[in-house]
Amino acid sequence: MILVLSGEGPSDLGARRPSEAGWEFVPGPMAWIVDKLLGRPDKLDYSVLDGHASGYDWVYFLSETDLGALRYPRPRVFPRDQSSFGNQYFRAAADQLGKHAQAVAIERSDSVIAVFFRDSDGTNSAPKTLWESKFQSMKAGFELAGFRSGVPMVPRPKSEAWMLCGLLKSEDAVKDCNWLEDEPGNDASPKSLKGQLEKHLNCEPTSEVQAELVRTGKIDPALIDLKSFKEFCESLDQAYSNSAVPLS
Amino acid sequence: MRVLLPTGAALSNGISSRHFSDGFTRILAIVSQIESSAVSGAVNARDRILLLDEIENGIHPETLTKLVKYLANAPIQIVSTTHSPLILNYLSDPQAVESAMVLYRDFRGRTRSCRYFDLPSAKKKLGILGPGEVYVDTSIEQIAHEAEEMERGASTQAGAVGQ
Repeated sequence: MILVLSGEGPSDLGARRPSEAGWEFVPGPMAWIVDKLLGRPDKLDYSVLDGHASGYDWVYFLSETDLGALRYPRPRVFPRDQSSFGNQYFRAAADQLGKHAQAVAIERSDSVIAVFFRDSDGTNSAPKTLWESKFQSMKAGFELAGFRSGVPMVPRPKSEAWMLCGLLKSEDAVKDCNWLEDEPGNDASPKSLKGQLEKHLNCEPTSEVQAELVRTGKIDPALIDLKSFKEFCESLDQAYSNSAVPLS
Repeated sequence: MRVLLPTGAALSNGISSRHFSDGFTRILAIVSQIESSAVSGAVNARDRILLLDEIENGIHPETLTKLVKYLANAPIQIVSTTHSPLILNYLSDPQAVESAMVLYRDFRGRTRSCRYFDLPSAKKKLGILGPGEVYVDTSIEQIAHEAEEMERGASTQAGAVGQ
């Protein structure tokens, strides 16, 4: 299985950093969540990220800049309505990512899942429908590309909500954490999710700290019961089914 | 040289400009103005500026693409206002980055301007979307907000350098 990942930075899906071999991919917490969910016994039963670190070339990572530099053919069209903004960008970007993932699948003759990560929003003033429209735009973009194993990964309002929920549930500290999806995503807010995560961990929630929480199992993704996370899981399950993983 | 478009009297070929469409009349006026400015007078052609308001009005999109290409290569400077994403889309990405300016009102009510594709949200989308598509995919409120933030950031930096 090959993963084609595109996120916003090191604290979500991860980042590339210079290494002796040129560049290496450093997985972020969201990449580990994808890996843990796909690595269950009823699915792959192995870790794509561990395999990649051992020398298998199983992860293709695209930064925002890499994604913007893709030039697969696409129709230039204007929207039919203008009820919300930003959707055309996410649709077009998912279309490009899907086409790139398809090209990787052909080149490598292997199953490919593409994950497109973006936070839902960072401000309270944003419309409540923003998460829905961003998620659906990404799905529409993968469909436009004809790629059936594309996964929108859109935490509401941002990935720290998923992390905090995973922590609280793993510690059996709360029954449900739906309220986290209505917390301010803006890091400057006194009630910011990043601040809450820092307070709970009693240390700065760096990318490395968060990635380790998921990698080592301190956060069990199976316990995260937020709506935006469930939608992501359903999409990942569907992508896995469509990817037709060989039995051996 | 000046081209006059009589509205009542017939031209030499017998057709009055009253029978021209609005779009054709506008194109004729624009092209005549540019071509005559380029060759007349003591002032260097590049020092001449033609101001056009909402250039897209009355012109068919197919004709508009030819007009935009003509204006982009005109011998004199052209400043045109527009609300049309088509106008932006007919520019190449580098041309749009270089030449598209946005006018907005700041918190004091002053009219300000900045390069449209210097704004972070617009810059990020360019490439994935064409310049005109970026324009329709970004709310004008967000643009004004970002432009103001950028201006405040620049003035803070300038203040720090001056200290």
